[in-house]
Amino acid sequence: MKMTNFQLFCLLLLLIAPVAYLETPHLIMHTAFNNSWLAALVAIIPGLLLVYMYCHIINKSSQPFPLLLNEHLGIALGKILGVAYIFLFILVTSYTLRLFIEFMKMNVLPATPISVFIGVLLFIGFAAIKTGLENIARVSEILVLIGVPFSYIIVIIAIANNFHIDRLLPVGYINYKSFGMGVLLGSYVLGKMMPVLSLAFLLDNKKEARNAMNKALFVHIPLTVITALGLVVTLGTIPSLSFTFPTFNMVRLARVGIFVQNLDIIFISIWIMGIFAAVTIPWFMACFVTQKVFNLRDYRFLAAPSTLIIGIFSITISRNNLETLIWSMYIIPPLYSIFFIGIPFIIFIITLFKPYPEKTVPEPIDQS
Amino acid sequence: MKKTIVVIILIFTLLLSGCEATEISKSSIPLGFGTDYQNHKIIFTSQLADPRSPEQSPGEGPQFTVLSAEGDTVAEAARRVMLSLSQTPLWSHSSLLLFGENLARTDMALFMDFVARNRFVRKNIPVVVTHNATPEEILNIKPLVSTYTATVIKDIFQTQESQMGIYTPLTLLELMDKFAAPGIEPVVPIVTIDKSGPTKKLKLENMAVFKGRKMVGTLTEDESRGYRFMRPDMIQGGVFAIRSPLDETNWVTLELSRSQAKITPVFQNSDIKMKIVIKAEGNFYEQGGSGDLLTIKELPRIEEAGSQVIKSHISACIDKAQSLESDILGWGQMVHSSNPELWKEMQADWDSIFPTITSEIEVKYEIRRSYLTDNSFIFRE
Repeated sequence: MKMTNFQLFCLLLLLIAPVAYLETPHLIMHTAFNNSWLAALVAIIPGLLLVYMYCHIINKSSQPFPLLLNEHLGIALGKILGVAYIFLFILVTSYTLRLFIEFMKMNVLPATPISVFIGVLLFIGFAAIKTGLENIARVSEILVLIGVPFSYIIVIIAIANNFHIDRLLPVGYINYKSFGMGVLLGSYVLGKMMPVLSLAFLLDNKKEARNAMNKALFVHIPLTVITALGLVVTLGTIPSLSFTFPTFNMVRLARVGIFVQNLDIIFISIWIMGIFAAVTIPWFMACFVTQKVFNLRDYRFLAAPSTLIIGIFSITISRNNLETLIWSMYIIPPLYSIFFIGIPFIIFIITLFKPYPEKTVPEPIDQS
Repeated sequence: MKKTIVVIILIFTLLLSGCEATEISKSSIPLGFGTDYQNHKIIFTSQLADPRSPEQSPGEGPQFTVLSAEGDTVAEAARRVMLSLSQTPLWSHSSLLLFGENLARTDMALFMDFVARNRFVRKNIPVVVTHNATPEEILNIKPLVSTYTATVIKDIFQTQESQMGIYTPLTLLELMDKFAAPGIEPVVPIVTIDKSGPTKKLKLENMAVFKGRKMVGTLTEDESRGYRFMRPDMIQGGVFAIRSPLDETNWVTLELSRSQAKITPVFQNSDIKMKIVIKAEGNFYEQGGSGDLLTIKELPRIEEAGSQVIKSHISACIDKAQSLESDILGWGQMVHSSNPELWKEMQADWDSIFPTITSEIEVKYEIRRSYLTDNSFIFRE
């Protein structure tokens, strides 16, 4: 199958934005406080470096991820890492699903059994993978076109109604360590664009992937900045720290005049759509990496067995929302940093000393 | 085959009512709720709407029901209300939060966690403290013109803001922020029952000053005006009276159309002085007594008198805040914003430093218009 540049942009944006919208500003605020928006803004620099790194790896590789692991690290290490990535993508899918469950249970439908949430999301994810990446990419286009404008609009309305600009002061008064940590927390999530190492090979010209990544970055970073800034000027720094999902609390403040209120349901609808993509794309990657590592004919039949693993893992990953928070703050950031940034960085260093491949012949991804 | 599956799924969706669907006939609308603390128990009160269709007779009684229950915690008391209620209250419709003075003077920690954590309580609803009456008594008052007490109190805030300009409304979110953030304390409007007339009336009167987790005093009407003038955002609306420059026994009413405060800490060695600059403008609204007051010659005197009144209100507010040792003016936050290093040193001792801070107040009130007449009313000689 082939993919357009816009579809790649949509897939990449949906990989990073939905979870980051809800989670990243809160995480950054824990270290950068009222300057969290500045840290989120500066995260564009590591973001650009990441884009450069991924592009370089793509250009210096003749095969998509995970086969490029074999190409650059040797078959033995490449296979071992490939297996590790399968588990990682399953973990990312399960964690994202769990985050969705926690959000829905805590804010929207607390009495609904979690099996309903898991079942519904896994069912549509399964259906999406079963029908192939092409359909996921098409749906992603619709999700981005609806989700991004609405996300911006709701945050702007919430800010406009509860604007306390003095809460941003003192601007820039933060020590380097805290600010650096804030930038790290704002940028590690950008590592979730790593599937581009596979997806770029579906473009007519894989060098165009840079364009899609840059677009995703320049849509995502302003959204994170405006959300982080919104939390400070609407909720205030300290109340935001105590809320589990402060972005949602901020959105609940949005109203237009006295007649358009309770806009949170729009936010929830958009977020559920985004979460569908945020769950399905890494799930697809888990199946795809499995296919490539074990040299299977197709990836789609893996959707069914992986459904069970993801469903059970998302339940057992934590016993309560405090444990999910620990995952969010202390386990996921280093894990993403190692696998989505650290290992690609090692490959990047290795590829610096390698020539460009003479001819790029990507292996077909879709067997259909 | 695929079409059959899709059709089956669509048919099944019609049977799904939703996991947490609440039928309208089995739900009630709480308009406001309040909490108080008596005999080591939390008292939770809610006013529920009792809507009537146009065909039904409005009847003599109020169109609401007030229910109260007590418990060891707010949540327990709130749930106990359900023991005498067959319908599920949709708490997110509540538009007012009241807490009794007893609770406010005891410890707000008994209450704040509940409202911060509860997903149904909207954080942008106004909060009030009840004085000389419990929230239950307040919510039981039948409003003079409107239908529901809770919405009336909310509306009074909006009306007084543009008409009188005395009290500063506070939302739950702002209250949470001021309780949590260092260098600022909350001030909450007080609602009470006016028993002076033949019928009991609701009345906004004074503002409750907090320090830490407790209410420590009140701001009077003039002090509340001063507090309003020092708000960081632009204020609009309100009237105030000054003595007539022509005759001290007569009064003149000035309207405030807008006012903007600029408060900056000035650091002199180890001392802090707050420089307060108010730029206000308004209209000449009414003249009591006779005499040609509205002239180019007299106008500066009226403006100066207006400025002096505003200044006196501001001074009164500062004096009260300092006497209560409660930084309701947020000066600590201002010091933090403009000199974070100094704030780091002062933060621990701020409670003792705040009352010693001096201030310099500069008010410039200017009259812009005089409505339908451009001179004073002329009586025949």
